[in-house]
Amino acid sequence: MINSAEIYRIKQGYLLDAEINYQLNPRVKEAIANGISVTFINTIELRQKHTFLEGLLSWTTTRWQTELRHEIRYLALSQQFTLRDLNQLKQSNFISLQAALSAMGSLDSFKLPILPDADIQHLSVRLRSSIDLLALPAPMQPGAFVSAKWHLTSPWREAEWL
Amino acid sequence: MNFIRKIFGGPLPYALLGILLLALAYFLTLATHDASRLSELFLLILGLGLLALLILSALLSKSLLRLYRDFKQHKPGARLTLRLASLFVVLLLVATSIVYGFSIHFLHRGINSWFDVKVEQALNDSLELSRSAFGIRMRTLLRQTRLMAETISQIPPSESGSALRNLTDLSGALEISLWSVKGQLLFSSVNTPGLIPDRPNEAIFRQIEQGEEYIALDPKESGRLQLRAAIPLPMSAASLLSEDRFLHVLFPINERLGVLGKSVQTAYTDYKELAYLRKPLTTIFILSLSLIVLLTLLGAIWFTFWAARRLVAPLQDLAEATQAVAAGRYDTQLTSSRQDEIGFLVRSFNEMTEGLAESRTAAQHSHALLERERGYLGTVLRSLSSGVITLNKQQQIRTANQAGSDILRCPHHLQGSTLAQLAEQYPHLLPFCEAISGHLAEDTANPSEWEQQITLSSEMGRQTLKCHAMPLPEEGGWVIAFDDVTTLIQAQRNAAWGEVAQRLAHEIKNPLTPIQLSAERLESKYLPLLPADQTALLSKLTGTIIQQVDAMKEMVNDFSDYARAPKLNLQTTNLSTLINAVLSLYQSNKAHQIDFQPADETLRVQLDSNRFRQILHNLIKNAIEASEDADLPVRITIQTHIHDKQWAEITITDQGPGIPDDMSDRLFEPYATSKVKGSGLGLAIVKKIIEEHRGTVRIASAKSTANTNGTCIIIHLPLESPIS
Repeated sequence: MINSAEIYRIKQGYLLDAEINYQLNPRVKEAIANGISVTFINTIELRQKHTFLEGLLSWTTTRWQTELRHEIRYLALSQQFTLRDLNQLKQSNFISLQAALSAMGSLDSFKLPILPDADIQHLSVRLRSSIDLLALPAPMQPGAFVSAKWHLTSPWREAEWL
Repeated sequence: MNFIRKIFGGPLPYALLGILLLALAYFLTLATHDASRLSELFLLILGLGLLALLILSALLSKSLLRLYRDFKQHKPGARLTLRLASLFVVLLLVATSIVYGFSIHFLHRGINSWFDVKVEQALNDSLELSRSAFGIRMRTLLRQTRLMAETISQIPPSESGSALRNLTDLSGALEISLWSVKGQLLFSSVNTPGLIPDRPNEAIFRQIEQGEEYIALDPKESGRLQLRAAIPLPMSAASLLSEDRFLHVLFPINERLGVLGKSVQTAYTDYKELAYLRKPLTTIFILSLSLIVLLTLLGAIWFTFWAARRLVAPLQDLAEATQAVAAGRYDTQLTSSRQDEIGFLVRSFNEMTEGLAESRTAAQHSHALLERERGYLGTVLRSLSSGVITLNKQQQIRTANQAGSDILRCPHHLQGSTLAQLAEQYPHLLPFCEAISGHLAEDTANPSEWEQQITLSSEMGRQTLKCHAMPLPEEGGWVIAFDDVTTLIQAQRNAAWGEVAQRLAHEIKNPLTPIQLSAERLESKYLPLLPADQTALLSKLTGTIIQQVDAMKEMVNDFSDYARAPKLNLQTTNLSTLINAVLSLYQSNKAHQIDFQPADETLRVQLDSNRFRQILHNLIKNAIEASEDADLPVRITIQTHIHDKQWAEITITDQGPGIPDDMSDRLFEPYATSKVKGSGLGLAIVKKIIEEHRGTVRIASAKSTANTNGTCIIIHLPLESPIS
């Protein structure tokens, strides 16, 4: 679940800070412990609200979307958990799974795009986290698709403007 | 619904199914060549298989529905198709179940064979060995790092940079950096110029904050291994700093050792992953196998239904054609280009129906011919005035023409009755039946033609039949032709009597007048010459001669009347008026009681009134004389009414002594009389005149017409206008 999501302004734009608390169930932990790479996705959307007839009608469109993908894998030899940022192709090693999850759940100063044509008052940012089931080994996919234990998608969390 | 029916009614589902199965076969071939690819292709195979399964199920359902419909409607061949298909399906199920069971068993064994306890143990040991090898190195480097940290802690911060460079050169480390626990890089030394020192992650910082040392085998992004160590710097006076710091060192790993370690780790991880995926792998293999088996089974069942239908189709056509033949459509022909036994059967059926059609045409032709012959024969028989009947061996009448019924006076059809039944039903035919039965009984062994004249008596009078019988060939029986010769015989007799009467009248009448004249001259000439005592004798003798001559003259006149046939002067006459006029002559004698009871006063017939008056006088006179001779009161009743819509019937009934039985048959013949006096020609003349009027006269006992004695004369004259 997402504990917090905040947007603050800098000179050139806006930055997003978020704190995501990954609560893995034993099934997922067991898979990671057995060498299965698990990919997590953080989806961020920038949305714009449109109004018509002085707010009588309104609708929202997604103006921008991105996915931040991280892969956690256990290395038996070093007995460490490797966290790979698949977007930036960076890697960190942690001696515990919790440490790796904490590092993955900490989103610091993520730069949001600037939409010059949009009124800031009508913009909103939301994010959610999930597991990429299609990145699992193929034999696991049918079981994962039908099992609720692999469906760890968090609800959307609206970021607060600071 | 119609759209779905249209799609599944055409070739599209079969083409789609074929493409899907080909694609499935291709991907399965790929998966078979490389088992590891099955996991990659599994979803595709599953999707294709399920789609093919769906189409196949739809096709099979369609076949089953069609078969069910045919079965419910009792269509020919449906039962056989169901039986054949059921048999094949049972065989398929049994065979497929066995194969499926064995396949599952071998699948489990195959997958289990990938995992070996010894291999697993060896991998565990290798990993442990690698860890030990790296552990020794890590402990050494940890001690070395501690020494470096102690050294750094002893020197002033201003010299830390150069100290780190010296230590880097001396220790062979990849980089040495000095960090504050708050995350600030204080000094660093990298053996590769230009590189930015690697920042330890937050977890290392937290560990150091807690005063713990850190050393770990650290894989790089490139995949190579390095050792990362972080040691808090001991607090010393030399440092002159209050902030906690730690030394962060990255040591290289021996290349060979790194490659080996990585290899061991990869093998161990792959094995463990595979072991973890054993259950899902088994599941997808079983699913794939089940899908293929199900596809094969459904395909085979669908093919079974198709083949059974195709096999039964000619038999179904044959059954329908047989029903058509049974219904009389002999022109039914089947088409089959097959060269097997069914084709032979179809050709034989076609030959059979051709033969049947030809036979039927011939039979119809024969039947038509027979009908024509029968019609011809019937027409001939109907047109015959002679009666014709045929009898079988059981003396039963098979055929009889209308003339036969008329001659025998049987109002009903004669067919089907035996001679005995006929005699019982119509007693007047008893002599006829007895005569025929007698001949048939005699000629059983060697039937031959016979001829006989048979006389029948009935209320309608005497009837003489001339019968001629001839045996029928082949099946036996008789054909009997007979004619009513009564009229002919009567005519012959009348002609003979006429001839006699004419001759008598001619030969006798001529000498009577001279005899009478001579007798009268004799009396007139010799009466005066004779003595008185002899004159009476002469007068008596001549008177007797004259009287007898008169009697002979009267008799000769009667004969003359009988013999001559003057032309009738027919006029339409009111019968009642005529009878009343005749009866008025008899009303003077009060002893004679004559009643006239006309049913219809306006009854009119064509007759010669003078001749008919003679008839009435003759009959009334006969009735009066018969009653008076027997000393009986004269009571005569005359009735008229319409008989059978075409005859005027006149009955004259007296209450006299009646006619003796032996006289009744020949009463209307000349010289047939029961009276002492009379010529015996009265009734013969009556009959002659009535027949000249195309009428009939017959005598019936009064007993049969009324409950009295006496005689009843019945006259039938044709009506002027028959009543329709």
